[in-house]
Amino acid sequence: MTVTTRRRTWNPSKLTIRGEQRFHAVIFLLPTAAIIVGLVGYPLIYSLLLTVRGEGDLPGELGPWVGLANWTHLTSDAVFRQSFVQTILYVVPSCTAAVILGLVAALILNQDFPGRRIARACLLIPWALPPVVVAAMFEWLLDSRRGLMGFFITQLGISDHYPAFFGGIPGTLFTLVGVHVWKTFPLLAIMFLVALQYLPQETVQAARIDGATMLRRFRYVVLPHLRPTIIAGLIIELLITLQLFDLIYALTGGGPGAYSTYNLYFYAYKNTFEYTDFGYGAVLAYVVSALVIGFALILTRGRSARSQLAAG
Amino acid sequence: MASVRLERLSKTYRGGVPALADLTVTIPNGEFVCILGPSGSGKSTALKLLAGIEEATSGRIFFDDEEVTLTTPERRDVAMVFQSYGLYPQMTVAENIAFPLMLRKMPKAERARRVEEVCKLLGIGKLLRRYPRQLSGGERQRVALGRAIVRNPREPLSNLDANLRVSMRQELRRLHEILGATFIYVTHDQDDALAMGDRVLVLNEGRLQQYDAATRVYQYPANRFVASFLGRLPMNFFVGTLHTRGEIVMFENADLRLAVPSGKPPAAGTATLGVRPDAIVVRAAHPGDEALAGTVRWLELVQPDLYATVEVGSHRIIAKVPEGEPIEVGHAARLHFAPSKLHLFDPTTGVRLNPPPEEATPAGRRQREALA
Repeated sequence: MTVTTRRRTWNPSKLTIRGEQRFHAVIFLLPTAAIIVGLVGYPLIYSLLLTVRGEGDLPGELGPWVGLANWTHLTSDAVFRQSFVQTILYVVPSCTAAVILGLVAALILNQDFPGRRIARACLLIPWALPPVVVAAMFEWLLDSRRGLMGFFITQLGISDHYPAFFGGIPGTLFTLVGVHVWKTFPLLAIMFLVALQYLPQETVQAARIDGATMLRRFRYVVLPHLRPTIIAGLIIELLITLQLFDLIYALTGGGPGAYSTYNLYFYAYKNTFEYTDFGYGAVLAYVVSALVIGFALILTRGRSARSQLAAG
Repeated sequence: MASVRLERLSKTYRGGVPALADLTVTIPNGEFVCILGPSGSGKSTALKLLAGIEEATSGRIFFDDEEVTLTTPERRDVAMVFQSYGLYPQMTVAENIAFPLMLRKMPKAERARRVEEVCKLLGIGKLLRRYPRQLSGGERQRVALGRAIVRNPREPLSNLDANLRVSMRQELRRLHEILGATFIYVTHDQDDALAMGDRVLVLNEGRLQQYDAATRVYQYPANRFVASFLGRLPMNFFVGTLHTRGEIVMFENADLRLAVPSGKPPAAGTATLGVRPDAIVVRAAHPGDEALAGTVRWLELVQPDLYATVEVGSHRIIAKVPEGEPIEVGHAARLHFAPSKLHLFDPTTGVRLNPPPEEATPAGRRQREALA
C-alpha cells in the first residue's frame, strides 16, 4: 500500500492567486505591524502594569504588586480633581474660540482681494512656530512691566496700568487659552478654507437668485456645507487641547499658586517625571486617553457626521 | 411678467477677451427666447448678467421700463434653473422648493400649499421628503424647475440640461403656456433652441449674430456663422462671382452657374454661396439632362433621409436623395438646386447679401401658432 502525500513546501511561486495576494499582504504589513506592536503595544501593556505594580529599584522599573491602589487614589486626590476641572476649562473655551476664529479667518481669506495669497501663507505662521518660540514670544509680549500688549492697552486707554497676564487665578489659565488658540486656530482656518473652496458656486448663486441675503446664504448654504468639516476641526482642536502641555510648561510651570494652570496632562507629567511616581502618572495618562476617546466618540456619532460619510 | 431690454450690454472678465460685446436686444413680455451658441459664445454670460450673478462691464439692462443693471440678484426677482441644478443638498425636495417662499416670510400653511401645487404640476408630488442625492438627474431638474417657478417671479429663466428629451421640451413649452412668463433658455443644442424658442438669439464670440423667429434663423441665416452653425449636416459653400442680368443675379464659378432670385440685387463681385444639403436634390443622370452633373462619392443616412456626397469638378456637394431614387456610389448623378433656398454671403465679412423675404407675421410666437 502506498500513501502519497503532497509535500507542502514553502514555495511562493506555486501559490494560488488568492494565496499569493495574502502572502504579499503579510510581507508588506509586517514591518508596520512590528513598529506598532513595538512602539504602541508594548508601552501600552507596560504602562498598564505600572499602574498595578509598586516602585522598583530604579524609576520606571516594575516593583511588587500593589493592586488597584493607584486607581483608587484618584477618588481622594484633590489635585486630580482640580486638574480635571481645569482641563475642561482649557478645552471648552479653546474649542469655541478656535472654531469661531478659524471660520472667520477662512471666510475672509476666501474673498477675492489683492494680497490674498500672501495673507493665506501668513495665516499658517502661528501653527508652524515651535511651541517654545511661541512661549518665549508671548512671555515678552505679555510681560507685566515691559510687554508690548500692556503698552498698547495703556496707550489705547483701556486700562491705566499694565495687566498682569501671568499673575491672576484663574486669569492666567485663560491667558494660556488665548495663546493656545492663537497657535492652533490657523489649522482649523485652513481646513475650513479648503472646504469653502469645494462649496458649489451654483448653489450659492441659486440662493442669491432665490432672494437670500448674505447672512441667510451663510446660514442655509455655507454653514450646512461646512458642518462636517467644523465637527472634524472641533475634534482636532479638542484632542490638541486635551494634550496641551508645552505652553503650560514653558509659560507658567503650572502656577501661579500651587496648581492653578495644571491640566491632567501636565499633572501626569509632574507625577511621572518630577515625583517619579510612574504608577500614578500612568493612571493619569489613562484618564486623559479615556477622555480623548470618549469625546471623539461622542462627536463622531453625531447624525451629520455619519450621514456625510454615507453620502460620500 | 416683464419684457427684457438689453442695451449695448458688455462683459469682459478680468484680463480676458470680451465674453459679451454690445448686445442690444428686446425680448417681449411672455416670449420664450432661446440663446443659442457654441461654447464660449457668451450665452451663459448673458444669462448671468440677466440674473445679476455677474455685473456688466458696460451697458444697461431693463425689465419693462425699470433699469436693473446694478440691482443685486436677491432683489431682481428673476428665477433660474442652473445646469447643475444648484439644489441645497441638506434640504428635502419640499424644503428646496419652499426656500424662496421662506425667505419671503410666507406663512407655513400657504407655503405648503404652493409647494404641493408646483410639485403636482411637475409630477414630483411623491418626492417631497427625499433629499437631492436620492433623486435621478431628471427628478433633480424638476425640483430645480419647481424652485424657480414657485414664487411666480417676473422672469423664470431656464438653463436646463442639454440632453433634454423631447418630452421635457414639450413640458417646458407647456409650463411656459401655463405661467405666461418670459422664458430665456440657454443652450448649445440647436434642436432644443429651434424646438422650444419663439425666437432664437444666436451668439458667437460674444457678439449677436442673429435674433429672429426660430423658423427664420434656419431658413434665412443672417451670416455665414449662423448658416454653418445650424443644420445637422454642414452647409455647402461655394466661392464665385456675381453678375447682374436684369432682374436676376447669376452666381458663377468653374463648376457652377446658378440664378439667384433676389429682391434687391447685390452689387456684382465675388461672393460665397451657401446651400443646405436639403435644398439640393440628387437624381440619377439621364442622357440629355441639363442639370449639373457629378459622381456620387458616398451615401449617408441621416434619419429619416438619405444624403449623397457628389463630386462636381473640385467641389464635394452634399445633397438630398429623394425617396426611391436609384442612386449608387460611383455612378453619375445630377444636382437640382432649389432657387429660393440659396444664400449669398460676403466672402470677407460673412454678412448675408441677398435680403430675406419680409417676415409674414411680426412675432415668432404667432408664426409658431399658425404652423401648429
